[in-house]
Amino acid sequence: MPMKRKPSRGLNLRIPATKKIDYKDLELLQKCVGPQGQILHRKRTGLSSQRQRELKRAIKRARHMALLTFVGS
Amino acid sequence: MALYEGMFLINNDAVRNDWAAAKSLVTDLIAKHGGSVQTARRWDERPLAYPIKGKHRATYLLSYFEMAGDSIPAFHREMEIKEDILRYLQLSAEAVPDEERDLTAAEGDADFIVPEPPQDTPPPIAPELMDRPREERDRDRGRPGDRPGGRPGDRPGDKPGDKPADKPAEGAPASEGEAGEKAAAPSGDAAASPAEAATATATETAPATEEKKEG
Repeated sequence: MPMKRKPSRGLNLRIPATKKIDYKDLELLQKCVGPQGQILHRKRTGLSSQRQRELKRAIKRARHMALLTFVGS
Repeated sequence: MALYEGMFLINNDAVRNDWAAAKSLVTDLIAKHGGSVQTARRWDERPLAYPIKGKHRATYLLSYFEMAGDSIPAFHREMEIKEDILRYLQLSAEAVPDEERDLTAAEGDADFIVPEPPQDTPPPIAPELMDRPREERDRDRGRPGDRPGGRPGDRPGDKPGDKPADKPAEGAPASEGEAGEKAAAPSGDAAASPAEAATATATETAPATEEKKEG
């Protein structure tokens, strides 16, 4: 009997494997932050740990350049 | 010499005067520190996520340039001093993207016009964050509290009917002087429980009837 696969609860971002997560890609980054601007955890983004680290760096760079807020919407 | 990607946040006042001069503010600085600019273009003009040096909008300049590693600290220091460069971000890059070269070439064309940056006004406050009247605030929605009007939530003794002066004294009132003293003193035992307070309001006219009986 085949195992029933659990439905994914992540964002299902579908980032191509060759594409790097860039701090200028605001459309993507805004999906990965919460209503108060917090970085969503891996269970929510559904990313691998390497990708999540890449995302974290991109969000922090975007915050530095005032493209994203540190806190608040 | 290594290749870097640089994002520079430029004051809109400088951009409004002359975009070419604002751009050369960065490119000249790179050249001054022994770097060579590969591409430099206007990335965007947008409202800032938070105000920087009192500005709410600014223009982003994206550039790819080569620079020697040992001249970077001096380059950063000079950018910190420049008032029209609000912020910068320098990252190492592997190669200059092709689209960046195309877009930089397009910016050099004669028909390229830099749009006038809008006025620097703070973003409007969301209506839900505006100061609302007290009655509409969340914390006052359930129980109105100690406000006039006799709504639930008032403490016993706060409503006009709960005044200690109106409450019946235990037994018959001995004299007017004593009654006056009781009215002045806060009757803690009478307002101890809501049930007692309720009986106090129900028997407001009780002293008058007792006096009649005595008479």
